Amino acid sequence: MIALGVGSDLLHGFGTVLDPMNLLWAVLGVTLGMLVGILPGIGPALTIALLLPITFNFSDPIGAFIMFAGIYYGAMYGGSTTSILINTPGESASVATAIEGHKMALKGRARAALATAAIGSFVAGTISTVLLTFVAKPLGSLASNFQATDYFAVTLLAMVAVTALVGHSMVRGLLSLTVGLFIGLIGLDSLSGAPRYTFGSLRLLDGIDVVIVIVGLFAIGETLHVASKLRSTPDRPAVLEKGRLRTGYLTKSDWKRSWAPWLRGTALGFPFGAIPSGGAEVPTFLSYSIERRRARKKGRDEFGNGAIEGVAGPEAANNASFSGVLVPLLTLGLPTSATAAVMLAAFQIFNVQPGPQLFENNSTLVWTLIASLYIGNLILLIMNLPLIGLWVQVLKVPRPLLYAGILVFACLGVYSLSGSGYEVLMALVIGVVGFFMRKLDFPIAPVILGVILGPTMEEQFRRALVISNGDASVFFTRPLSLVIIVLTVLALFVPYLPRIVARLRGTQPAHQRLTFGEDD
Amino acid sequence: MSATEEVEAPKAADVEVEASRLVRIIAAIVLIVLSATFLVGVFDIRSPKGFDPAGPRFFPLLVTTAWLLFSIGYLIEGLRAPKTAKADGDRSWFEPVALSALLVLYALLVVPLGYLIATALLFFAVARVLGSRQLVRDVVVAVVLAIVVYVAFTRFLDISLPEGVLGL
Amino acid sequence: MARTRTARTRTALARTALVAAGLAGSLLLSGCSALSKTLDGGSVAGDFPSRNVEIMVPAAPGGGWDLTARQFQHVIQEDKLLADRSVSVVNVTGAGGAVGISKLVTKNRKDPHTLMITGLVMVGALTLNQSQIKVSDTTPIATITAEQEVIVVKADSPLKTLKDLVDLYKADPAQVSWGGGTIGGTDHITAGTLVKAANLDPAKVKYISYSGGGEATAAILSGDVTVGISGMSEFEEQITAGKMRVLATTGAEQLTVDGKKLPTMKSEGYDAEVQNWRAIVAPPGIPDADRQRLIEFVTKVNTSPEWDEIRKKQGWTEFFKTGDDASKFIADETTRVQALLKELGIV
Repeated sequence: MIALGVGSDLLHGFGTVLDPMNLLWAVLGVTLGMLVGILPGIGPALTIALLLPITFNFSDPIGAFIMFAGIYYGAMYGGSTTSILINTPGESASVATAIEGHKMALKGRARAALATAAIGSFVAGTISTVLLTFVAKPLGSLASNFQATDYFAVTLLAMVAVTALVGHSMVRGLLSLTVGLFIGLIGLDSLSGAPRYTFGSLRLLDGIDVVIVIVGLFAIGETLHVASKLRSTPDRPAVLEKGRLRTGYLTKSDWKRSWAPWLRGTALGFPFGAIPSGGAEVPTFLSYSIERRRARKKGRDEFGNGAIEGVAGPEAANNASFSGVLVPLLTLGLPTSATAAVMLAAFQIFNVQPGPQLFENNSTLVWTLIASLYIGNLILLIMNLPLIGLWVQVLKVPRPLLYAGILVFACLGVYSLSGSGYEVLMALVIGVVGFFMRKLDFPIAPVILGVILGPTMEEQFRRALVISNGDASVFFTRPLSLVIIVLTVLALFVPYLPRIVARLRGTQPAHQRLTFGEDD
Repeated sequence: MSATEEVEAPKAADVEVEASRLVRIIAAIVLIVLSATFLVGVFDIRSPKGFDPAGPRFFPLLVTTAWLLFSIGYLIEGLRAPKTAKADGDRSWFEPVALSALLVLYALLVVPLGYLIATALLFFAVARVLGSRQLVRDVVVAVVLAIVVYVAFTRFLDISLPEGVLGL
Repeated sequence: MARTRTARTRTALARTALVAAGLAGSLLLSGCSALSKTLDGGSVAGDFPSRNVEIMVPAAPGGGWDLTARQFQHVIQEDKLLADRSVSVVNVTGAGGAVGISKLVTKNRKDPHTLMITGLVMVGALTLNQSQIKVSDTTPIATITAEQEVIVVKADSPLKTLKDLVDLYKADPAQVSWGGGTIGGTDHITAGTLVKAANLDPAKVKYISYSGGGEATAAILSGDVTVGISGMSEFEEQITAGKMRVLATTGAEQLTVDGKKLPTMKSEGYDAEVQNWRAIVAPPGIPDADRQRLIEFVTKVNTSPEWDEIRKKQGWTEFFKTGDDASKFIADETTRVQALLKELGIV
């Protein structure tokens, strides 16, 4: 397709989307998305699924899709708001944001954190939509070439690349990770049908939903932790940084430190969204690790203490991944994430079948949808920059009410997953674990990483082996897998190279490790 | 960087391990017992081909073994730690225990009592445990919040929440 | 805590924030009530419905059962089939429906106002979970829809017909990897049924489960698996686009896709049929009179033009058996699936 053709198609799309009614859907979608993003456990996939029957009454699918895109963007941003302000991410894609974002809020830099998230989301959303506009087709065919061995290699690479998340102590970080991997094992094994660690309970057969783990570890764990320190810390609202010369809540130095992480986050989010089982989580964690390593190389020690790069990167990544997810969805009809799967169902309700022929058969719909992504991003930015001032007021809510509210919403989120009090109990058990993890200074994020990456890694590994009838050489005979595995090995050993070289030479190394070494 | 200096930075001591050495050792022992139990549990997993890497036992074996090894590592780390670690004196156990008890009650009562009543009670009780002493404010916020959530979810999102005794 | 001026300001702010949230919520609410049509109407004589009806979906929102239930609800409200009573949809997730059905047969016993959606998938899941409760423990009201399964290969696959596939499996079962949905689900059952119909050993079926039609589609297109099995709706676009070739569908009638009549397992010489059916059931122990009224009620939904339109839109075939016919069908399917999953070696 030539650029000129794309241009006129897109212009036509803008013409449709700028219809006042469609704009209204976009605003409604973004607002609704922000609300559900703030609620723990109620993500965009569930919201869209629940709205499907309502859209059934729409005569025209375009309005519905504009609203869905708005919901997704809004939810991603809403999730980061609670991550930053009260350290309770609503879903997995906002977990990485919480690490530095909440530290920033504690230091009184909540406005800057929210602003870099909002602007970063806009930048990433817009750039990745441009990419979607022009490279959807070639990228889509690449995604359809991925086999089980390649997925396994990618997951392995992601797992190794995000080791920076382990934090202060290697032992504690790896313990957190293994506990997460273990939680991922619980339930009916998807490939053999054998129950694992279900202890005869019917409820555990489905495994423990990652939402319960997140709500438990963050919302409930954090509340218990705060409660235990209540008597020793005065109830005073966080001091908000006073204004000085700044644009959009960011100082000149904030801008300088944010723009590159935005771009790198976009570069990670878009391709990861496009490959099946990539999703929005992995690129956020990867972005966090990369920013941390870069900061360390430059001798900045602010990471773990509220570094703005650690918010800018992951926030850009999770927004960029949405356009990525749309690539295989629109060009191949392949949903690569939960939200995409629900959107596919929505397409089918309107008798629109995404896939190779969509661009020919439903050209107006596709280009309107793409145009609506540009508009959705813009609306998100326009709505959110002024709202930052309102959001930060959350920090001024008296602590008893704030945390009572967090518990109410945490319970609501897990309750609505299955409609029983059982999930609330399970989240509480995990919350107690989270409480002790905080007491003993275990990092929380690796648990989430284990729960998310573990099952994919195992599934793809075993699928590859079953298909090859047990021949492990498949991981090294496919060029794509081989390249990724070599990269993984490099990622694993390069940080230790100085030490190894020094050992070989018999001298003391200057630094213990190149990058992700910490004070362990 | 300049922006960071104008507000109070967290003290290094806060970032450090909070718990005393004893708590760490107990935690390590709990982790060892758990991981060992689960390691033994691998043999209970139904697997026609035993420990074949393509079967359902292989990953659990890897994960639980790694967990056990890291737990032992953590125990050693705890035993080696200086005995002068600061005491856990200013931490209170009452609030976390009380909140946990409230959540258990909530989980059990939310269906029979109904969402509105259970949630308003939870909010109110949690606020009290956390030290709020403004009766009227707490009651008003609790009731309003419960109603708004209930109406929004049942009427708009079509997620059903338990009606309970009110039968709304 | 002393009530100082700042404390009061804080309280006011807290209230403002909460009120703002509330306002936003109610704004959305009013916007929506304009969309969703409320129901009203006169009353109707009889015991059922003596209060509001609940349709339980034993799975998360967004899936096939959920869609069926919500469309059912839509038709009931649109046509005011319950007079002044309303119908709500409740999702009870867990273990492929095992949590939902156990709630239905224990807690909702004898209550004709709680209905549940079920289907072939639940029969498989309950067998796999070695559940004590069976679908036949409920009071079946009616089977409502069915979807054919479709067996496909990638367009450039050397397998041209269903016989090619069976022959390859006969020569060396390890050469054939079957990709489909959940283990023990409809797709897996289809693979087993075909192999059995060809008088071969189902225990050697190398089945690779994927979490959904999308993942399975990717695996087929990338050449990871030899053959793919799923519902027609999952593969239709790839078939029309010429990226997948249909070896057979699994129902009684031959489907037409893109102007071409597709072969079925039967037309290819394998005497077997698999349909992904869905049914609506009531709790055990309800009075016969209520069962009769429920059957009449579901029949009314089934014959409504709205429901017909929804079926067409979703690509569901009418599969309507009521009362004893439905009970017998469900019992037969249960026996068949239990035996088959045993032969496939997964229970």
